[in-house]
Amino acid sequence: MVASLRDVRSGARASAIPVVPARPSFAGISAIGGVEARKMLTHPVYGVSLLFGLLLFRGVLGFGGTGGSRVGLWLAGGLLMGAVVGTLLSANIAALRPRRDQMLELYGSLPSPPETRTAGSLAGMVLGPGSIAVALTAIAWWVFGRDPDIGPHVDGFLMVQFPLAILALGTSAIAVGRWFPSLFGGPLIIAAYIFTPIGWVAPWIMPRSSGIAPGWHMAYIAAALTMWVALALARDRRTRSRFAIAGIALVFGIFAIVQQTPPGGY
Amino acid sequence: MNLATVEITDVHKRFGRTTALAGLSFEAPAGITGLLGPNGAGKTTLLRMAATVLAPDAGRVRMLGWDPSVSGERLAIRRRLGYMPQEPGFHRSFTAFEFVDYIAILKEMTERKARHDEVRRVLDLVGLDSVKDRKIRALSGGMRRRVALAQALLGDPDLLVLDEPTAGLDPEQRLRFREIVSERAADRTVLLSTHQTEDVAALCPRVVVMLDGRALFEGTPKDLTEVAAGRVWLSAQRAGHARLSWRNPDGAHRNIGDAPEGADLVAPTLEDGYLLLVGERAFAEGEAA
Repeated sequence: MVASLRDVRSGARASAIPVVPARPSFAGISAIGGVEARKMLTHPVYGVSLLFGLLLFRGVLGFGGTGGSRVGLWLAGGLLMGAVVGTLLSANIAALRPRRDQMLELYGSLPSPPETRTAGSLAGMVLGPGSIAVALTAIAWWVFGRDPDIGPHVDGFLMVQFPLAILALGTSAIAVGRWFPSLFGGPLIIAAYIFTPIGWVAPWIMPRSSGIAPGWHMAYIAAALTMWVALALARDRRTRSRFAIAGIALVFGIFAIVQQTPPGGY
Repeated sequence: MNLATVEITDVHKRFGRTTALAGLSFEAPAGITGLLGPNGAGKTTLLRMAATVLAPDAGRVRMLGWDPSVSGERLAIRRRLGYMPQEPGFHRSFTAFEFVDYIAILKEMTERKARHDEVRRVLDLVGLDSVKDRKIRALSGGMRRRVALAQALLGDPDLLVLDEPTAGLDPEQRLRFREIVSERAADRTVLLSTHQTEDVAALCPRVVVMLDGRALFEGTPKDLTEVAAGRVWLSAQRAGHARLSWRNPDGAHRNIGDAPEGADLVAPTLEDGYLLLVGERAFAEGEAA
């Protein structure tokens, strides 16, 4: 068995596609980003997630109120919630696509380095679901600000966290998809946030009134984004610098999480 | 230095305990070189090396004058290469145009207008212009292979590596394929693996027969046909000592092997030569075992 495992390992090594020394070009990344943005937004999972968000948020708000402001809250909140799930799943599927569709051999024969595709997926996530998140956040800011209960908590600090959290989750989905090539990767990230205390320990979106340290919170989100980008690119070329950046971002991110938490918790 | 040349010298490749190439050597000049051989002969491994997606364990490979083991030269090869894998993958949710366009971006064609013109050109070349906006999942197997050929033709590459490009194509599509490839082969190098001896006879001025990871034969199709000269005959019954024998539609048996005295000899075909060559080696190895 050891011999056959060794055979599998040496076979995998023998089949590894040699990479090229070229750096990904900005033009290539932006062109791939345009395609990926369109594909993520038109993937059925994105539309279904928006609908799912609307349904779920209807449940959160309760089925009682049907006033104008409640409808606005429902639409804005539901679509934002759906955008979180949709971005995560569609970005994860985009990252899985080359392996799922058995494209690695053909891609390996092309002059663009593999980072062009990974960076293109990240750019596509920013250009597509990221742009939608910004637009939905702008609408939600207006809607939430008019609500007598939520309005007092709404400010620029709170609202900027929505698109940043969506981008961070989308980036994590791409990194997970690159390292864990399974359709379960995206749902596992969602399950991790629902069924583990990670969402409480390191929340993505918190109002200023919770006592959170805004600067450290932004630092934490930036660290998370950096870590996932570095990990996604490290899958293409396992350089020490990429792992080092991911490691430093992880350590800094944990430090920022500790610093952002107010004394006595939220 | 001859830039339009593929040089394979004493190349070895193993996957675990399986030997794919065992000291393979041959040269392919400009023009079309056909690779023939049974399944497992090492053709696909060789073509993957030619496409720079696989490195040899030992031996020397040079493509268009460059060494793919040197990373800078590997990039130079990839910039001049068109590759159609044996089992090309597709993004099934993409349209034919989107898919070829995506590959064109990765072939460093970043200027949008010029790239789209090139994508339209190659799709038109393979006869897919009318279905370019159809999703790949909705295309037939033959159409998908033409999409794969279209992406290989992007940028009019100096080196075309085509692994069983005519598998699954109907006769009309195969003729169209021959037309496309032969037009491009005048001053370019084409490596073509196939099981169709008719394609080799129709297209390739040079043929390499592979068996067990080695080149068993190198020469022209005429030379390969000559291997069976005087060794193909017709008989009313299956000849017992023939290496191979099958019944023709007219009822006569076509036999290949050492013809008996007074046999009704017929002109051999390329397929006869190939079958005799591969069959004899297999027979000899079987006897030795």
